[in-house]
Amino acid sequence: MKYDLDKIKLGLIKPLVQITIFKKDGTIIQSCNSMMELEEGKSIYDRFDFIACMEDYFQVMEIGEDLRLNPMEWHEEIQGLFVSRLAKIDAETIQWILIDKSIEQERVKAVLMGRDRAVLNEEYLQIEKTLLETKKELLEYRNEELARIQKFKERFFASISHEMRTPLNSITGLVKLLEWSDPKAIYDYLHALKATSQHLNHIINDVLDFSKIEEGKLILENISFNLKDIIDVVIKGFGMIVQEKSVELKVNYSEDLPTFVKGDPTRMSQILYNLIGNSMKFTNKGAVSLDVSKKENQLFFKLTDTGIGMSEETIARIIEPYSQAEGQQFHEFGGTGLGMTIASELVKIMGGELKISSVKGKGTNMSFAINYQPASKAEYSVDDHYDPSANVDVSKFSFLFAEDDAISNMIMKERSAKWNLNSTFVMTADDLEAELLEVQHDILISDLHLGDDYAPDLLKRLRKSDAVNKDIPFIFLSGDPLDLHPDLNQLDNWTYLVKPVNPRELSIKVREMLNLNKDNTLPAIDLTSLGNAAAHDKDFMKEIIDTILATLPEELGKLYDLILTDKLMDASKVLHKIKPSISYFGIPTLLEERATLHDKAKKGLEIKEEFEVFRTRINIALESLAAKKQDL
Amino acid sequence: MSKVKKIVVLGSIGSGKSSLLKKLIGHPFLRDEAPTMGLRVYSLPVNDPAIDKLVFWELTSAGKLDSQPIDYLKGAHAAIYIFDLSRPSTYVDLMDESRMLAEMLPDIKPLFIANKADLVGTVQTTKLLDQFDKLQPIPYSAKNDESVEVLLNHILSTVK
Repeated sequence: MKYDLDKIKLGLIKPLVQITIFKKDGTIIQSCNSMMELEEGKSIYDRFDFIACMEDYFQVMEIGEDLRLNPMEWHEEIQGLFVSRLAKIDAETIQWILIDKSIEQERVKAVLMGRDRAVLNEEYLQIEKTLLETKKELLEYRNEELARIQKFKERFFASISHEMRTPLNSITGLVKLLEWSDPKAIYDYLHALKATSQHLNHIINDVLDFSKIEEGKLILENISFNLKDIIDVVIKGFGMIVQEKSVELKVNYSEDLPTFVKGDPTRMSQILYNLIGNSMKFTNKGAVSLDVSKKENQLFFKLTDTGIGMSEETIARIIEPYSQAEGQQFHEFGGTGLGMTIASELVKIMGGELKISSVKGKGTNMSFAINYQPASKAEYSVDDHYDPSANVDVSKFSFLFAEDDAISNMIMKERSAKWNLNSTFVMTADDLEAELLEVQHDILISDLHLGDDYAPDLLKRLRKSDAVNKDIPFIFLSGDPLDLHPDLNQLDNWTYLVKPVNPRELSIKVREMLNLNKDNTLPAIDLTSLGNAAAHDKDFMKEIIDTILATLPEELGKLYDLILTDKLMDASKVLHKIKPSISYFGIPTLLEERATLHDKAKKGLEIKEEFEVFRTRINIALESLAAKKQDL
Repeated sequence: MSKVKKIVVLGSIGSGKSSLLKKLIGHPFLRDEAPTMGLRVYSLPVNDPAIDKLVFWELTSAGKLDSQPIDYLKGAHAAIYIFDLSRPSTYVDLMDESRMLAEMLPDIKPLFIANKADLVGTVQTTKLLDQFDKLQPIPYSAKNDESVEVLLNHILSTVK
């Protein structure tokens, strides 16, 4: 038996191959239609976009040219993987052979995916290599930078030690001179001694401040103060230099500048001292002028000088720590080189940025803007900062000072005398213990170490005892940073100051610990207004006072409840209602305080704390009013 | 002159050819694509009196042009070459590739698409585009519909 192998072969191939002949204008001449039906006489271009887009090329295609698209994914009428061949068989005719290769689709896909993965892996490895190289370079750069900074630090501390040794030697020499000298010359030596100590103190403070900033431990105060007073004090501080150098130092305030602001007056002064100091140092003729203005909730400071100016490199360097160590300017200009860095960092902590522009030989502009909160009055004035007794009667308080160092003790005695404090001084732990057990005091200011004794050990025992001073507040003084003494956390009601003690800081701490910041003292009652209202009829005046004494505490109680429940609009109405009663006290400050509370309540602002102070003051005034009634 | 235009789309592996085309013809943006096997064809009907359809021939991701069979390119009315700004391997030989493309398709001015402009940032994009200034590359981000619109207009003006 003979088989028709060609027929069998054709039967196998037929479903996988389609041959179509069409004219170059697209008209189908003949098709075997084994995969899809194509009607003779119709346009193939209307059926298949992939063929239609070749129409222009078929016009110019050379006879015999055979385009092989192998492989090709096709998704028009049938979907799958194909080999497509388009050949021009004569001037007018195109032969299209389509071979279905879908059976190989998965294998081809796997091969291609493997190829793509290999290419991408190679690229990934290359990127990883580049990344590692970059990391290595970065590490090397960091190491170089650290080495550079370390070198600066070493040079800086070597120079600082030298800077500190110089005034220390001067102090020693001056003290010797004082021992031997003629009393008439003592004043001059004391003057020199003071200046030298201040210089040394300045260096130490710079180093300590910078250290605090570097460790992120500098905490700003937020107290209200008179802005112009603070700036004027800074300007006055340069009086001597202005005279010596014949350089004009001017300050211009914009008219809308607030009188009182909330912030940190000490650090604001420090920024200005350092910046103006730098300008004055490098200005030998002309002027240094400071412009202070405000815009919305920011204060703007602009300092202009006609000094020697700076190059871009110098500007970048002066706010970098240890700049003078790098620039070798210690002996030329003096100072630690930290002043500008400290100023720049303080401005940053206050939310601003110090900007410096300069033209060599013409001068320098420095400016910064910091946020501020307006305040209605000053919690401290410039003078208060140096006196815990400002506006307060401190004679009723008994201060106990414990200090084993003779010089520090002497300084404390001098400070106490200046502040008119009622003070007792002890120098040993035994004396301190005896004093604390026998005599009642209101505050203890003590060195942490008294000889070989550690004062907190004694005070821990005191807190647990029934001694008269068991609850006394402490202010500890020490040359160590506070974090070296975590054991102090076992105690309560204490605070801490690092030596050398700044009188201003001590004053602030004393006021805080004795709670002297709330001023409850009141001027005397003045019944003139009430007299006028009652046509000086004393019986009628007494009647009005009785009404005030009966109703005002009730209204204050209502007010308290409204404020506590945040019904501030209702509170503002009550504050309005009590205005006539308060006016009869004849104390203008009480009226002002009422008006402030009224305005704040109307705006929905927090007034709880202020109201409590106000209520206390009104109660004091009511007591005085009741007493006044008896005199009528 | 046929109103159905052939546009060949070229570029290295993973340069974003499939994603760009799917975006152009209205498909959602897909991140994971199977590799193109040889050639993949997409049609886009357009509303233009001179053009009925754009037929995109996306060529395999084999990468470099010298590995592409010339038969795929023949009859093209336009060419798009995509490179990925975030992957230097896709544009490191771009100038050589552009010269080769000019030889293969001497009558066509290819469009060079700088893909993934959103990933490298404005500064880096500007720097790289300046480097290939001669080719006048068009920055493109598949995540930005506006840049798709801009690209389509470029293609239409090229094929007309």
